Amino acid sequence: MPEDVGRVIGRARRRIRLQRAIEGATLGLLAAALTSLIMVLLFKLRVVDEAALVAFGVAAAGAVVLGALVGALLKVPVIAAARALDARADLADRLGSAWDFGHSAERTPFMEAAIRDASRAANGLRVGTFLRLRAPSHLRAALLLLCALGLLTVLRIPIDDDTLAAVAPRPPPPPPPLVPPFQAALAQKKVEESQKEAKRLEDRKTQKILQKLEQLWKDIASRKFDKRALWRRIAALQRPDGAKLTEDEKAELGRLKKTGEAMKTAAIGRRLGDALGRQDLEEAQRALRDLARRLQDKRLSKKERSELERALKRATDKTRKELSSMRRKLEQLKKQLAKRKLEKLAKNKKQRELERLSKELEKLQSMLSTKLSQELMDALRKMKKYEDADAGRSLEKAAERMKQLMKRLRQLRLAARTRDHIREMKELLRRGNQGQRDDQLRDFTLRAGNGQGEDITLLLPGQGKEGEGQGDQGDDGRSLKRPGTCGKCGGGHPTKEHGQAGKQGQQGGPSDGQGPGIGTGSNLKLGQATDLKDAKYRDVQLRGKKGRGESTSEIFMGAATKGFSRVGYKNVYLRYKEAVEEALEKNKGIPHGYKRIVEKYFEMIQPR
Amino acid sequence: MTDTVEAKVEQFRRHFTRLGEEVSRVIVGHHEIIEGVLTCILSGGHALLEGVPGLGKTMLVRSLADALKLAFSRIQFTPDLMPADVIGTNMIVEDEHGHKRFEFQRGPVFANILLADEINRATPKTQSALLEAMQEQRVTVARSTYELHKPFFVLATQNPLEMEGTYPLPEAQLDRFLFKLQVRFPSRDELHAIVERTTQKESPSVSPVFGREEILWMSQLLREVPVARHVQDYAVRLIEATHPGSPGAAAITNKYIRYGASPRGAQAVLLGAKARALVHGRFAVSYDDLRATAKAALRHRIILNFEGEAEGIATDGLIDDILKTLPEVAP
Repeated sequence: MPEDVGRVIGRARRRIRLQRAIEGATLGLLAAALTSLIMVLLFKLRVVDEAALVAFGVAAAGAVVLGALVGALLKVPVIAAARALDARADLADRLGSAWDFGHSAERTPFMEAAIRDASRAANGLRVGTFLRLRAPSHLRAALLLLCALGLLTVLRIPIDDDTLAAVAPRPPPPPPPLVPPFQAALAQKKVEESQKEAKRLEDRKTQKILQKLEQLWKDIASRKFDKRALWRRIAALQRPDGAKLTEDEKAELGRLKKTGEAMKTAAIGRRLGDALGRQDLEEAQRALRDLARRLQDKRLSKKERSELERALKRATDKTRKELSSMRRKLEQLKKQLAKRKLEKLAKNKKQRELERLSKELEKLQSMLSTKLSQELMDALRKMKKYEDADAGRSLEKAAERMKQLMKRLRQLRLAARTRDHIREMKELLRRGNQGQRDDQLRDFTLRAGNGQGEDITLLLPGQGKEGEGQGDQGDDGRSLKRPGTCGKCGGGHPTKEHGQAGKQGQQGGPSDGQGPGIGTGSNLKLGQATDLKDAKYRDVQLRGKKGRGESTSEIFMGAATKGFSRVGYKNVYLRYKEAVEEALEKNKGIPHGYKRIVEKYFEMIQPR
Repeated sequence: MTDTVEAKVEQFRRHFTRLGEEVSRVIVGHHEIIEGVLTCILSGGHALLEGVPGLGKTMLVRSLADALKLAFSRIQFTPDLMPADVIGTNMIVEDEHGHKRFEFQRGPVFANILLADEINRATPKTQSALLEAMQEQRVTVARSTYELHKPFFVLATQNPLEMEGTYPLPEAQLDRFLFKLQVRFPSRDELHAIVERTTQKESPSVSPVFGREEILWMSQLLREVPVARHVQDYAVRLIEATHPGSPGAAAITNKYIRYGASPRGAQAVLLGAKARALVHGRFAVSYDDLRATAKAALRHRIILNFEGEAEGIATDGLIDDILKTLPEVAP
């Protein structure tokens, strides 16, 4: 192959390499500019530091060099170079053919002629003229990006720490509270109060339990919990034992009431009697101590002393009678027991009968051991002997016994309250957990339905003008309904007219007219105050017979006479709940089961 | 004759140009057709001219025959034309001694240039009589083979409009034509020239330029033209690209073509390209030569599928698309 042709083709190859290197560098520059733009933006937003930016800049420059190198080192076939030059110089493939013929083993005259022809064409051929370096195809885009990069570098982004915080990746949201915060706070407050009480009563065991309970509530409130660990801690809580008053304590408390009645008959013992009547042992204790001191200090007048003596006599007589009656009963029981033991009854039946009698006997014996009554009787006996100082000491001892009883009662109440605290915690956690499961179930249902599932429609109650209207909407078995209420008189069912408004929202349901009315009043808009000017009121008075027990009535002004209530539901709830708890606490005669029903009701309506 | 290749090529080019110019004295325009027909003659192939009546197809062939001092015969193909009417038949002749014997009476096929006018009007039987003559350049009658004159060139014409009572040429016979040339309607200037030349008192005539020897020399020279490997590879890939399902097939090929060009197509492209290279005074075939001859060499060798036929796809358009998408240097 002639040198001319080879040289020209070689030059063309170098030219093509150079062009490819430029293309590669431009492509690298484009990529580097694009990524640099992002990096500078991140730097301006203070997401990356200066060192990272510099390192990236070096890498970007490296990308440009790498692109150029890759472009330059890519293989350029000789034929491709020759063809490119042939096409540009309009040589009708003379160079390419000559190169091919030059490498042919057997050259024909025609081939030789073709090579000579190509050599003539290549002689003086200026490769640069025909294979001009073109502007890279990505140059414009790369330049635009560089301009944008320059602008971004020069510009100052006014950004404050708040914005930065908003831009910065946020930590994962804390887990949803298991218990509504206000309920947790309320329960915690109750535990704190109980703990104070435990401290006062020096009940260390209960105090320890309450401390653990308080810590649990704190952890729940701060959401620093692991559910399983939490449940384990609750399960490990030692419940205060369900100790009850012993039989003698019960008997003593019962006798105190009778003692109080007897003491009320005398002016000097009225304070004590009233306090015992109210079962206010603290006051009773103070009154008894006062009496004891006055007796000891001889500060009682004769009249007062004789009144006190008489009152004590009345009180102890009752006790004495009761005790003698109980002793008689005890003797009878002993006889019965002895007799039963001799009888040939069936083995099991005999055993049960014996056990019953033994228990009753034991109960009576314990009831007979009454320290307080004994002290009162001692006081009376000593007063009769005019040993007022000793009598006063006996009264002091009776007061001390009363104090012990009072403390015992308080401890028992505290234990019961602590048990309630634990139960309440479990209940609230269970409901919180149930709520989360409900949310998950609802999400799952919506996702599974993919928008085609049946939504549970909560239909609002219809509002009518008169309380006697009947809704005509049937129940389709899918919708949750509430009975319609009259928006203007505060009760009743929607009228037929307004019931139709609800009909539009529930097509397809059987219209048997048995279901509650639905729909809204046509003149009312959401958020608009109820107009009461046309409302009809009807006062109803209830009659009852006197003497059949106390009847209390209360007028609730909570229902707004105009407009909507502006008191928050939570506040109302808390107020009412506290009132109810107080009432339950005071009224001792309410069975525990009934109390539980009331508590359950308030648990159900508590705000979420 | 000259000795050097350059001189030979120059001689070839001069002959070709002169022949073309001589034919152009009678035939107005149709330079591509004249060049195509001459290429066919020099390549040893046959040409199929397709065009509506009155465009000067017959005149072109007659003028060419006059200019080349070659034996010319013309057959007007009709439905009742028999094979014997084309190739000849044995006839009983009586010699001077009164002995009777069979003697082969040569048909019109025994000529250097055969004009098969309206070839598609003859029955397939008669059309196929030309098959052996076109490919083998000899005919066999009653177990006797007769060589045809050299050069032997068939130039067939067909009318694309009147399809009633015609017998379209089978693919096998179409493949035997080197080129299929489409005679277009002349331009306004050409029409002026045609009218002027043919309505004067003296019509232009063609003078003989050169004879059989020169034709054979030129044909031989043409086949000596070398083709570089990468250029030949382009021609091969071009043929491959017309075959649906082949690795190099274009999308349009797979969509509209049922069968692609045969290897004869590659031969036709290269021979046409060689002739073109010589005519342009070059010593090797270029890509442009291949592209210039591709349509004439391949348009009758590509068979469209039903979709292509239904959509009225022209094979010329398909070849253009294939040429556009085909890379010059194999990847």
